[in-house]
Amino acid sequence: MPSGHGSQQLALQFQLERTQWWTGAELEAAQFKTLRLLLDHARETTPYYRERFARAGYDHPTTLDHASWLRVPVSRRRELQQAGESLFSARPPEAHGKVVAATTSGSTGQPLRFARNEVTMTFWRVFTLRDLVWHDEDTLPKIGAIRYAPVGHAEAPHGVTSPHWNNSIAVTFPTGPAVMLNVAASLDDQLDWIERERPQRLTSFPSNFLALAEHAHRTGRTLPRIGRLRSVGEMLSPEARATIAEAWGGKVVDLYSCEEAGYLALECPEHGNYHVQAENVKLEILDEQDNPCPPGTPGRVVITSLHNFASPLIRMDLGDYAELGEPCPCGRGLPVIRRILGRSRNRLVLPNGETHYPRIGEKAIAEAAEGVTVFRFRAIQHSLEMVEMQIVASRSLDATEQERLAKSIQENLGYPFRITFSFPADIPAQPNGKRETFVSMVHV
Amino acid sequence: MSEAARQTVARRHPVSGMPHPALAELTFPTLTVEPVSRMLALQFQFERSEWWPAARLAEEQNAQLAIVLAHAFETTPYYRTLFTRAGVRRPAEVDAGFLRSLPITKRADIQAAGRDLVSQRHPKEHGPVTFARTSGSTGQPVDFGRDNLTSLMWLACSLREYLWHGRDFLGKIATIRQLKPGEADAPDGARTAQWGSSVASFFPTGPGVLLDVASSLDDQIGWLRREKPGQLVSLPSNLVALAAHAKARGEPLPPIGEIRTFGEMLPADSRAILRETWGGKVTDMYTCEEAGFLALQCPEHDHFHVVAENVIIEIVDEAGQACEAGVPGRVLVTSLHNFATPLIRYDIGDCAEFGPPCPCGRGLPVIRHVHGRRRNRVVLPDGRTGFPRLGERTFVATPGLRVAQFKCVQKSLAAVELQMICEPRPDAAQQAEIARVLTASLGHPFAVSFSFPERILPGPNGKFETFVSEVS
Repeated sequence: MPSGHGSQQLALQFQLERTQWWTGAELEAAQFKTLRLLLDHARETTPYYRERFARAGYDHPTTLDHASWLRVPVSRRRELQQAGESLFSARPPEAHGKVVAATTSGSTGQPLRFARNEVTMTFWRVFTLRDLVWHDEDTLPKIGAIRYAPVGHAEAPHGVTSPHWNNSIAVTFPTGPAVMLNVAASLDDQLDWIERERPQRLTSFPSNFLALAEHAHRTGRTLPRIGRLRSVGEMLSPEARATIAEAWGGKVVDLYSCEEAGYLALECPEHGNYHVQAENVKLEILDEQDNPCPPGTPGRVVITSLHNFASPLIRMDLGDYAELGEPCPCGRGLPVIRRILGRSRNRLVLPNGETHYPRIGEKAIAEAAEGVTVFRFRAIQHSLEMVEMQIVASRSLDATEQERLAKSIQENLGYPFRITFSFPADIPAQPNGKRETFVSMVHV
Repeated sequence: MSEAARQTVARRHPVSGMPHPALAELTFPTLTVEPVSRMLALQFQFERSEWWPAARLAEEQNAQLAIVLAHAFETTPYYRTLFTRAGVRRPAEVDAGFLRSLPITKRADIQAAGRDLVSQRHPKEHGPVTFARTSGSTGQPVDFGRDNLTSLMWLACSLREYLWHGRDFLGKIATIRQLKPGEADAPDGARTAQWGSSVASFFPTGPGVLLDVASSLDDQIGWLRREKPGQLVSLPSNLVALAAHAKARGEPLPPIGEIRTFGEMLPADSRAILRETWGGKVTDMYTCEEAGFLALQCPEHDHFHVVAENVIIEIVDEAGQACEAGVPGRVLVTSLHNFATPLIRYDIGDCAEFGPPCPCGRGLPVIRHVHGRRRNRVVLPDGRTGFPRLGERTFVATPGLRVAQFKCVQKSLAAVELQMICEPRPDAAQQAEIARVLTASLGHPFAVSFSFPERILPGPNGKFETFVSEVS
């Protein structure tokens, strides 16, 4: 039934153009109307929530409001990781389209298995488009992206080329061409590729933009000027933003998303704030006791997807840290996030001195062995020869499993590092809230 | 255009106004299916294109105009002949200058063209063509083709007008207009569970109430007092008469949030009277049956914006030269979406004038005044005035007669004259029947005389009028 058709997308944009101006209370009331149905659905059809709610003695009222919502149990990421298939609805609405299972690539080091369907994909596209609408981006220029991709895909020197932007936009508007390169490419290869392709907009990780700028400076190469720089996937500090903008000579626009629920926050077109995409998710910032943090106080990011009836994600602790801000002077009622903490990466250093985006093969780690649930992991490069793999899992891996996984990690890193394993009970976040999936102790 | 200006429409939209959902659990935002999606997709586009600068609008219009002109030339005998005779060669690039070089088509030309105006290769994707006879409010019935595309654009422009003016779709809407006898007679009128299709097909709405405009003013006032609508839609002449009647009786009318007018010219003094009488906003629109919506009232000002996504409007003088802003002239309409019976530089018989660019920031051209479209009211011997219902649908269809044009002139409190351009002339029995229909419709036994002039001239405003009262 639902489809990514252009008219449906624009019909949704028509609404988003309006809802963004609603007050916080109006937005929340509309969220609660949907959430009430989602809670019913979760309790009635999803074993994990039936059990979770029962264990917490939670029974939601006929009408949800702010106070009653705070009684809905919060799920730690580990609980959802352990849930496995019981997180999937036994009766996903047929009208929402085919259910497809997905596993997060583990950019937070905590892989999770969840479900998507046509409705969740439709809403993913909606917010992709809103991002363009907000930032008044023309769809005809050539765009480029240097992002994570599996080994063998979009590799240097050529990357991949498409005559159109991705499907999210191309179903609705005529678009220009799109090019992509695997972020694991060497910095020189990346710069060569950018010079050849000359995209008018470039999307990448902040750490990669910075590394390219620094590399160009160090080696005396001229950094190509690019008018629009889209930062994704990692925290973008104000300092990094300023450095990137200056080095590349363009405007930096950031966004905050997650694989499980899509767009969480987009950058305000008029101010530096992030606006929560309240029509996509209910996003809360909670302290360690699950109480809401006031603006200015950092806390855990807890999200609820409004449209995922295939594997409901209700009050899920995302593993990120952020803090709310005061209402934005732009007048939008969408809640404001002032700072997003967490999620950043060091670069891998090779014995020849080159640095690379660390591709460690998260999917292989997440599926390390039959019957093992991986909750969290982190790779630490201790030297130019050795990488330690820390894995928090339901059990330790045996020698054969370790050997198999080590081989996969070596292939992904692109160098035969010696891989050691450790299986700690947990990997705590760093004091600044950052959760790094790759740490390098080697200084270039 | 600044982002702030673009936001004005979106901010005005009431929170209750979310479209019909496809699924009960997906209402925020609402996941829609056709035809709702397509309609809102059009609105989304309108909400961007209306802020384009005039040059960009013209560029997009010209691209569509080129397609329409090629279609008219290649598939419509009337235009092929017209353009060939005028020695028109289609250039590689169509622009406003080229449009101005094309011959003007008058109503009489189209009447004479008959089926030659119909495209011989109507695009199948535009749906089946139906022919609508314009009601003859200008006295010259003409057949025009409509299809799914023209209907879609009609609905889209209508909905746009509702969105511009930020109406609360859940309120009650009252309409007093021409209806068939028995359809919505006083004292109770008729009720509908929803508003008209241009809103109710896409959004949940409140109820509608209807009353025949032929109801007495007392009946209308009583009905409005009972219904207490949030908005009232009617003909300017009827609303002004209501206001005058209430004032004469010293009984103030209950306030109504918005008074909306259609179908006739709304002069500035009438607008002021309506505003004063009901204390609310007064909104007019400019439409014609042949091409649908021509211009909508600016949400922030009293003048109109041309619906440039639907039509190209030109205003020209008697010599066919473009009039500058502030200079009244004849209104020429070019429809951008009628592929069934293309309308190109069609003189709709109205007089209007452009205005300077609007301070609201929209790039849509401004029409400052529409001078045409005023119907007089019939004056009865007891001094009451009424909307002149003529029964023209009946007498135009008299078997054996081909009525090209007519006009009814009230000569005195006791007599009316019916002017007809008609082949053949009606015989005595037909005249008696037409007189019977006319007096029954007017609601008073006027003496009816007939005349058969060679031409019926437009009124002082440049508009052909079907009813003119010489009794003031």
